[in-house]
Amino acid sequence: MTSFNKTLQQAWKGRNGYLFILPPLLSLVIFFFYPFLRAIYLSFTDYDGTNMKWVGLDNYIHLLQEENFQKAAVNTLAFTVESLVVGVGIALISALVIHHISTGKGFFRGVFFLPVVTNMVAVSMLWKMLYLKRGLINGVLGMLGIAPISFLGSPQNAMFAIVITSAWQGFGYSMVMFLAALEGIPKEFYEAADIDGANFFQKFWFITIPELRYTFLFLSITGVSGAVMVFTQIYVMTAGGPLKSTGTVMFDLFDRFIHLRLGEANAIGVIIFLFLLVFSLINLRISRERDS
Amino acid sequence: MKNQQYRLRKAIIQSFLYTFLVVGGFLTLFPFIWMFLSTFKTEAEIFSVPPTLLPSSFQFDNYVYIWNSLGNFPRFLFNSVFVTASVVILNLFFDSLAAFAFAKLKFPGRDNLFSLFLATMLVPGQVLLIELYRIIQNLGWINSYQALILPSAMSAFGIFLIWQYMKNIPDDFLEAARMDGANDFDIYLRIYMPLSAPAMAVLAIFTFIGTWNDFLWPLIVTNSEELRTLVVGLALMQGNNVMHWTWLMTGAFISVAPVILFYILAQRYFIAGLTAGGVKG
Repeated sequence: MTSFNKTLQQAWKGRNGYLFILPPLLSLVIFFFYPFLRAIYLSFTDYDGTNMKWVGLDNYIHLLQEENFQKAAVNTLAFTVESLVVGVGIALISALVIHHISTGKGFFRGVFFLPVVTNMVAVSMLWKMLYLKRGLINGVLGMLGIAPISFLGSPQNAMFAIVITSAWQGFGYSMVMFLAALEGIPKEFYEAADIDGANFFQKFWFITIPELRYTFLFLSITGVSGAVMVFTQIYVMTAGGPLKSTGTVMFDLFDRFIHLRLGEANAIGVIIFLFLLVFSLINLRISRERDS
Repeated sequence: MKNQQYRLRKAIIQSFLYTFLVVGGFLTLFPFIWMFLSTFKTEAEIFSVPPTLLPSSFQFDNYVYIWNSLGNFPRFLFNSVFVTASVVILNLFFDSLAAFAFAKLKFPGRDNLFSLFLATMLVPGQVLLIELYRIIQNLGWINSYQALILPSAMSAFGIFLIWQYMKNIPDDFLEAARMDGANDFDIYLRIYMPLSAPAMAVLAIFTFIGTWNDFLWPLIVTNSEELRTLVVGLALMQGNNVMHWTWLMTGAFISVAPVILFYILAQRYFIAGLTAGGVKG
């Protein structure tokens, strides 16, 4: 009883603390916990906005067996892997080059980072125009005597065309991360390797790459979280077509939401959340390990 | 002699590196340059064969047209500015105030509440999209500024960002100011908030970019031209039957130009702001 009284007294003394965190706390309850719990609950129901029926795991079972969703999941996975490989690859090469030049590091860093600050709708529209049959890329290819290529119009090419646009927009972020990590590698490592007579590639393979391991991990995890959510590029450039070749899970969720299949749409949300939770927890573990 | 050889080798390597960067920089910037030049061209000109770089004459017809006749373009621009400014200001105030409480004030349950905030960062916002929409609908806020502003007026990430910075500011100020009879809010407003200016700048830029460029949320909670932001208005212009690429490029250019301008002026803060989630403090 006395300890309860003591806690109350401390709470009264610290009342300003509660007051100062009250607005974000309310915001959290209304705009986070309530919709979050509701989304989980509704994922077990058949719901069109008016009539609700508990269906247990049916939505999940149905989704996992449904061709539409499977296709969207495969497309999302393809986009995720491709954009990660292309984006991180370009970022690593440009970071290494910038790291080794004598002057102008800040300038080139600034140039490569620029697309990161621009909005995806404008970027997607711009690239959609560049990709047209009569667009600039085919125009330049035409000057070289190459027949026009259908980028966004062909089910084979469309997703990779979107990957290129996304990598172009986002690689500057990974590049900045790599640059920061490169600066952090102690010079002594390379000096010691020089004394041992290591060549450039040996130093790269045995010092640089292992020293960048946390950056690789961090970028893979954040990259996956971002890529799984891909929506805007798809919405603007292909609307999921042609022949559903670029439909992703987020696009599928949006589609079902619009058609008021809210139980299924929320189930997709929960599936995305659980998938990403695994990655986030790994990320947390790694950053803890790195700190200690 | 050996020294000279070494220097020659170094110069050759450096010139390779710079060539790579100039080509890479060109590929990075050229699409924007093409976008900018397209805003002065006619529809026939942007698809001319072979492609031409410069417009035959710098005419402003596209700007005049989209400003006056296409949807409600001035309103889109106003909405983007108003919504972005509101979200940035609200975040700066509420996030830093809560961060101050978590970093400097003592009250029972503080650390658990803080962990609760941090845990929410594990849930991506898109997962909440539908049910958040339905709350807004139940509140009768569809097509309103509240819907565009309030759900993002505070953020756990923003609180965390400022908290990280504030916890390293000594507690001495707090004790000294209390002795002088200052209340907690004064101490926040006059001491800890101003001292956190670098972190506040990072949060301001992070929020500015996120809100200005946001697409999915403003797309679903607005359904009239009066409430559309620039980015959403632009995306929906595409669906118009008589759409010209020159108009779309002009709209797209207007949506990225202010951001690029700020970026050029405060590049360091932008890079710090957008990578804040990744660099451990």
